[in-house]
Amino acid sequence: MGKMEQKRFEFVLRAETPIAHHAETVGNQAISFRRKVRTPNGGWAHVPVVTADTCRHGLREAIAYAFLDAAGMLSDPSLSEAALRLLFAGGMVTGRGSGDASTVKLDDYREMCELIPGLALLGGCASNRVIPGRLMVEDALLICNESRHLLPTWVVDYVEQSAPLDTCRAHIELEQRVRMDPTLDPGKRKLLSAGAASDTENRLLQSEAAHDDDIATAREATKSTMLPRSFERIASGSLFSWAVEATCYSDLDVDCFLTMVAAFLANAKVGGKKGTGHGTIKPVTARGVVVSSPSERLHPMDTTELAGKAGSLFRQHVTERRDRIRSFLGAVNA
Amino acid sequence: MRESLRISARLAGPISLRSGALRLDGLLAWAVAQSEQIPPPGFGELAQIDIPIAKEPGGRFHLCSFAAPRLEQHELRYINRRFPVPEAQAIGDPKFKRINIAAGPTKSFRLPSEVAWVEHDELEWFAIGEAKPIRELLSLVHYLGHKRSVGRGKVRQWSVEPCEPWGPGFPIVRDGKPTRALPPDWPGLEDPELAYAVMSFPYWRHTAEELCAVP
Repeated sequence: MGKMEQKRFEFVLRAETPIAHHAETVGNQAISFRRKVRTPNGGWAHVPVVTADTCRHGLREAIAYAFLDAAGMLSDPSLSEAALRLLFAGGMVTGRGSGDASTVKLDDYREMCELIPGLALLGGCASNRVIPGRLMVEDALLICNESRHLLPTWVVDYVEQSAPLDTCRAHIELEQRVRMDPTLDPGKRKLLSAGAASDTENRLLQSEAAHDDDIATAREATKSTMLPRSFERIASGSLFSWAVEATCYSDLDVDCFLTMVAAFLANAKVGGKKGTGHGTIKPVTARGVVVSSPSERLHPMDTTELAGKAGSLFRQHVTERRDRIRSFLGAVNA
Repeated sequence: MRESLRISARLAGPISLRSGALRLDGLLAWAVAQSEQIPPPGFGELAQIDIPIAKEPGGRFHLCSFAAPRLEQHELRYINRRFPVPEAQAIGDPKFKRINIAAGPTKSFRLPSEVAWVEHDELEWFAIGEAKPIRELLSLVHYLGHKRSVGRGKVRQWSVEPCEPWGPGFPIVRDGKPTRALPPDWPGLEDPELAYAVMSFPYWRHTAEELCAVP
């Protein structure tokens, strides 16, 4: 049995591009995710966040790709529906068990944790059982006046060295975009077939007539497909405080945790509109702490060094077991 | 040395409490299971776990109260679950041809889940037990309640201090009312509310429910 160790990493993340991470849409406007926070004077504020669920999914995806790469399964697509669900969404309780479904053999559980080290940390469902995870991920909280009292002291000191904090409202911008209707462009209309061109011309004429006559129902029926919409986004350069914690029992657990965090942060994309240059976040600085060690002491951590060192043990472990992994994933019920 | 204790957790934010109560003995059992690497329930036989809290003379439950905090603010959040469609297209088995996100095992979900802020951001328990081992075990507990994996119920600080018992019944009966699930005929109870509950950890084991006096 290995020594139990609770490792915690705290990061300051910077939005390299604006972040469009939306909780809901009201009419044509998308609203950013916010968390309600209690302020020191007893009031309440809503502070923008990148949700912990998003970060946790990013970690799960990062370790799943690292795992498949090490097992040589990225170049040879062969994952079943259950294996995909297990690796990328944590699996599900299927209600199917082999033999006596009330108890899953301890050896099966140990084999599962041995073959998929990321699953042991993140948890999930397999073989008709829920496997509790050992990874705690927090919301990436916008660093601003309203969240100041909730941030680790070192984060506040670090950020205030360069500039004073601003309000959360100052970090949000409202953008508008329009999905164009190609049939409004005479040049593009020339590309239409004869029938389609005639239908479009008729619709445009009817639309003009409906506007001249000011008939609302006719206007609605003949309107173009142009769609203006607006969305909130967090301005680029905004800083976030984020923490992730894992309970590790072995060197492999530690290496798997480091690989997961390093792989996620190496190319972290969060929220929507990634196709139009949104959602890139990068670590600016970090602190690592071993919580259960007698010398509970924060120490600075080089995030680039983390990426360089992590992964060798994890990769070797998975590569050595790639045949067993293939057969396990081929038969998994998740 | 077993003594009367007041245990409190100072929270850094909201918490999800599905049953409205948080059981100290369950927390300590979880901490023991973590530190001794006891496999999760359902894998093998259910393990017997000893915690540094005194048991009642009959051995049915531990002498500690439940934290049943007053909640002062609520927030509705959502848990989204989606099937990994892009990954299925890129690295799925070619035999895997159809994904139905509206029904069946690949369905997408958006589940409501509530969080709440505890009054004064503090949870409180009373117990008879050994302060030092309790303190050590609780130092392993950094998040409380449901959905801890996404940072809910973050604990800022634990406090385990000796206290004066409030009188007979400490720490499980106060002013004639139970502070935890108790047998209905437990001495000192006055017209308690009755409900089916589990008397000792693991509390998720609904097959072990029995009629109890509840807080």
